[in-house]
Amino acid sequence: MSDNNKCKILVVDDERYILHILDFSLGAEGYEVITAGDGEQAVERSKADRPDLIVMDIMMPKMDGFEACKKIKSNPDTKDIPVIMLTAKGRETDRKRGVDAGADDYVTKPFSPAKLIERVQGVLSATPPGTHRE
Amino acid sequence: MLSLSLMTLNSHSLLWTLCLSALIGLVLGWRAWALRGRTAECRAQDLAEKRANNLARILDISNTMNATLELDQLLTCIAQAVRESLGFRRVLVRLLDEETETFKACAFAGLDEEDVIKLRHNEVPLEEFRGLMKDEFRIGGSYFINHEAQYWDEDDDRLVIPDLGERQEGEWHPLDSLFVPLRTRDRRLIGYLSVDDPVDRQVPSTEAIETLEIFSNHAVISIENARLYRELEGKIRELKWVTAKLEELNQTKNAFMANVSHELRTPLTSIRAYLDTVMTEVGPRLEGQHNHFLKVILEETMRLTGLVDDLLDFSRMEAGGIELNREPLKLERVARGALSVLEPEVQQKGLTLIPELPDTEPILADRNLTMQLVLNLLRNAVKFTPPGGTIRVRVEGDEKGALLEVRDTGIGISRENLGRVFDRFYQTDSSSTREYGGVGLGLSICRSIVGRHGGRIWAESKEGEGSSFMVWLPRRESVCPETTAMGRPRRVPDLIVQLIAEVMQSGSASIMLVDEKREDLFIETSLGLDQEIIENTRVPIGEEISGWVARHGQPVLVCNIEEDDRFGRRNRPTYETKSLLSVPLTTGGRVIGVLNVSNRVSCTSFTADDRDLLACLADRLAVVLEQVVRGEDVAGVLPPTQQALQAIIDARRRSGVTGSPEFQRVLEGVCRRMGMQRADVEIMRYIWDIHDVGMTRVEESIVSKPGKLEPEELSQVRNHPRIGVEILSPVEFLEQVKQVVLHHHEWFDGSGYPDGLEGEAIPLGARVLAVLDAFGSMTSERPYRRTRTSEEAIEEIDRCAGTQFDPEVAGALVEEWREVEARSEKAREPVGSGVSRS
Repeated sequence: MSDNNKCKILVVDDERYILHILDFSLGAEGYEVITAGDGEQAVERSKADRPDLIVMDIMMPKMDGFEACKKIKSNPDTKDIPVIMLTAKGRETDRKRGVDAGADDYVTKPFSPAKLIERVQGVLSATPPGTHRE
Repeated sequence: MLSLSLMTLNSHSLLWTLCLSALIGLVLGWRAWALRGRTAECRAQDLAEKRANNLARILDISNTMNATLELDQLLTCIAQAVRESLGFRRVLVRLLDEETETFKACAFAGLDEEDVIKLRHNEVPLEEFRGLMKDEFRIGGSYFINHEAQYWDEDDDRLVIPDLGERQEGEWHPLDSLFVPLRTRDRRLIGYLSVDDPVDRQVPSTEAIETLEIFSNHAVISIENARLYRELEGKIRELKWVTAKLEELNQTKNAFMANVSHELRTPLTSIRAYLDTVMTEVGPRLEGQHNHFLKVILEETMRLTGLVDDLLDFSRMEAGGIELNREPLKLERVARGALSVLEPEVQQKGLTLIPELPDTEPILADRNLTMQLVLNLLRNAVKFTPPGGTIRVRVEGDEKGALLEVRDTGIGISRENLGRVFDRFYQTDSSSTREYGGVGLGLSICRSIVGRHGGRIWAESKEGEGSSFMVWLPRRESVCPETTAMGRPRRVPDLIVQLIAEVMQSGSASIMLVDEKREDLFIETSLGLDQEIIENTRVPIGEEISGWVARHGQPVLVCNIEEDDRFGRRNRPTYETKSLLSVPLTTGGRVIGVLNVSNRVSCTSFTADDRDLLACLADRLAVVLEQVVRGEDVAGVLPPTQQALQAIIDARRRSGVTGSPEFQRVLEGVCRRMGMQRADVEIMRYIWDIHDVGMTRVEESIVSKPGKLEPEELSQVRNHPRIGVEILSPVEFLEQVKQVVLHHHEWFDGSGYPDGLEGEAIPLGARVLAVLDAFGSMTSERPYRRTRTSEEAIEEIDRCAGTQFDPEVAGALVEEWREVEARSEKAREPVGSGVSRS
């Protein structure tokens, strides 16, 4: 748990309860959690705060998750930040679009926070923290 | 005098008429006396001959009448027939309006405008007409009212009294009237004929009246037919409207369901996440029942989530919102996967599972949906089988696909319910909902999934003994008539308009068909037009643009409807842009309809090239449409045709960048340089769009695979020309097209595929296509580096001339490209002068 404290995770969702529970669960695992309520904010925060990982919903106001992911992945400064998308069950096309947009992994809604944490650990271990912050 | 109506008495007064009549009477008396001199035999013969002639005439007219189903037209035809063949110059047909119990004037012959207006205006009450049906007037079944009876009040301004000139005693008098009732077989009065002004000036004889009556009987039959037809037409229209409304409603409902289920998911996601957290954080510390309570909440949340998922899946499936992602998969593996998911439930309930899952050939199906299908069937079996029961899961491959059977020893389904188990929200009785849970969507979802794959699903069952559900899925994609997004057949005409709209990049497209009886065109199907317009549009052949096209069998290109004198510069609200195209649908030299496109997406005008391409497509579509219109062996023809059309649409979509005007110009240039005539160039343009149609059957993973292909994958790709020809066959009647598609991957040196043809043994079209195809694919991959890659592509093609490519064609492309380059170079020079590249 303690070596997680180096990692900063940006959670993006327009549902405040989802943001809150993810903040709580990931925080309990020792991650530093920052949040954004829509795609635009997500792009801003990923540039300004340089998180180690982004967990992002798809259906959001202003800019959806695909668009935001594409923006993040096309910016040389942020392109190496791994992105986990939260997709709805049964929307396999979403998964495909997520991959097209450059997402690294996805978790199907509704999810249990424990499962999400597993995925977060998996993705982070594949990309050692700090690699993208030269 | 005509009916109960008309003209005021003219110049001659009654007195004057009477004086004259006396005089005429004398003359007539003499004539009658003279006639008596002839023998009775002779008269009988005359009579028989006359009757025979009359009957022959009536027969003639009846035939014409029977061919007329349009009521107004028929009534006019009846009035005209009486005037032209039965010897009365003035004729009126009145029909009974049963609601108002009045006779309405419906058709006229030999009357001027003013009289017609007056007659139309004056309706005759049924009572009034009954009043004159007196025995004293009756002759046969008709009523003749002699002016001498003074039945009419001459000053009644409803009467139309003709000016017949001077009349003698015994001749037809302007105030004489003759009514022939129109009665059906069961003697129901539906109207009457009123005739006036006999050609022979005589008061009609019994024979003449008899002839009129025979004629009227025939007329009544035709009128009844036409009325039935009209009623039927109305019903059909009504039904169509209702169907459309229902469809709309169904769509609205599906959209609504999809929205609601989506909205339900959002809070469920939060609930699930919080609950999970609470359970892991505090669950273990809770005492006694409380931890159990949390578990119940979690289970119920999961159940609710499952129900919402079902609802959402179902409404999406119904609305056609789920795209199939076909890949080769083995049904027995999917079944194994599903069994392992349900293992815990099966064990918990003490059920015995008997899998019979031998190796089968892979089928092309959507992995997720197939999994869902098998899971739903298995879940049902588990749900409805009491503890201790058995569930058999069997997979079997056959020539064309694979079969899955799930057999249980459950409660079974009664015979009357068996047919409805696949209906949405249907559980055999509503109490079972409480006992077994679920909303009754599982099997409907199964049916939708199977339908989307072009397969079949059915059930067998005996109440109390168990049920067996069978699913058959085809190995390859096949679009069956009953397998569409809406669960209803997508009709060929609908596919055609979609294809046309896409190919022509226009917002509206419609197919109008010729109604030979009515000699007009009606809209068979359309894209982008309101239902109201579709239903109410009838264009007489020869009128407006479509009518012109139907009459002349020639395509028409209108650049700007408001400036085109040929069609009266008439714009319509349906034309959002001013340019439109209309081409005939011709088979065997006969125009069966017209294809219209308008509202080009780019708002630019259609061009002559567009017109020619559309005409080219229309030739092929007409062949298909005719089969459909004739309803010929629809079951056999539809699926391959729909596949062909769908594949053409898909191939069009893929052609992407190479559909650019620049590329089209290169294509034409090369064809021309190779000596092709205009018609051939058009065909080449068409072929260009569809030549890779066979690739739509090659797995997407292979098409998009970077790097080298495995031998098996390679052979799939190499088979695409052959598959292409197979797909096109139902709609392609030109051997030339098939040959070009088949051989466009042959190499000039004989090392190509599929047949290893060499040199000029390869059809010219195929040699041209080979070069263009290579050029197109080399340049289209990196559109943003066009100039450089085009240059590279040209070099590459030049290098392969003689081996891969016909050197002559390769040379033609190089020359053509240089010219295009030079032209665009030139066009770029005068900066700011507004000169466009074309």
